[in-house]
Amino acid sequence: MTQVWDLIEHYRDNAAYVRVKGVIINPQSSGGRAPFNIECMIDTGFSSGLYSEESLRSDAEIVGVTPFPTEIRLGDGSKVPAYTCVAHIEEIGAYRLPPPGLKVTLFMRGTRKGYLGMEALKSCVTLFDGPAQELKIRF
Amino acid sequence: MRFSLPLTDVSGAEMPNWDYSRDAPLENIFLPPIVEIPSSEEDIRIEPFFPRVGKYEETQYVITGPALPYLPPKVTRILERGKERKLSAKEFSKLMETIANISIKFYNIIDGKYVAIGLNGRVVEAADSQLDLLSKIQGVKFNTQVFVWHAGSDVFSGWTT
Repeated sequence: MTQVWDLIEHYRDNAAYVRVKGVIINPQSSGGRAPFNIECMIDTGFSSGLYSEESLRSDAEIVGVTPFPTEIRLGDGSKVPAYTCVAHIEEIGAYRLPPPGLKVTLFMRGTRKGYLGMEALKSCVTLFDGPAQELKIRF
Repeated sequence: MRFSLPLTDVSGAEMPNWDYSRDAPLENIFLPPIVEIPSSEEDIRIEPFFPRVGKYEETQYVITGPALPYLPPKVTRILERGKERKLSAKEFSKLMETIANISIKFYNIIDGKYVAIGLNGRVVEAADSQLDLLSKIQGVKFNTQVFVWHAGSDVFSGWTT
């Protein structure tokens, strides 16, 4: 029996990347939406949903969402301050998630590229096909 | 002016009307307490005024709201410094960690809870998961700067090492 995958992405630089489209919503105001479109590396060591650069923070503040400061642990074990808020993922790659999307925790810090963590992948089946250099996701 | 409505007791029998002429003058009867609406959360100040028949007494009660944890002078100095200039990332990290430790101990927060703490040490929200906590406080305006923390851990989230 052949598996039906919703999304197949080819590896780049020996890593799996996907383009993530989402939105930061202000629940206190109607119409307060800050969309974002970031390229993320799939990182199974990251326990939260999304990690992005800090420039997204100003987009959130425009719609009245003030990201909260906190501390996170990086892959090398060091503790660093970061900002966090809730975001809704609407599209992963070419796959569009049913509305209102997937609610995840978004962390913002520095100028590092995006990471998609285990919180975002917990509701789907993910296959890292090493020999074929492909990432396959079934939602 | 007199009320014409007949007074009845528990059984429904009519009771004799109260003789209002024996009452105290109008200015001596009970007045509702005067309550000032607090301008900020830290400054809840209620000043009731309870006049009594024949003798006026002005009683003042000051309620400062729920108790706040004691922050040592070292922390308050950093907070004051933060009003004048932007704190460095290291200073702010240390400040968050110190306030979180004091606040979690003061409010007896159990390990594993995710909490939102103000820089005055007050826990403003708590939840069982990161997402629940952030959903509750997203877009809400607070009087003080609020940060999020994981009780029983030194970080909120991140990479598993």
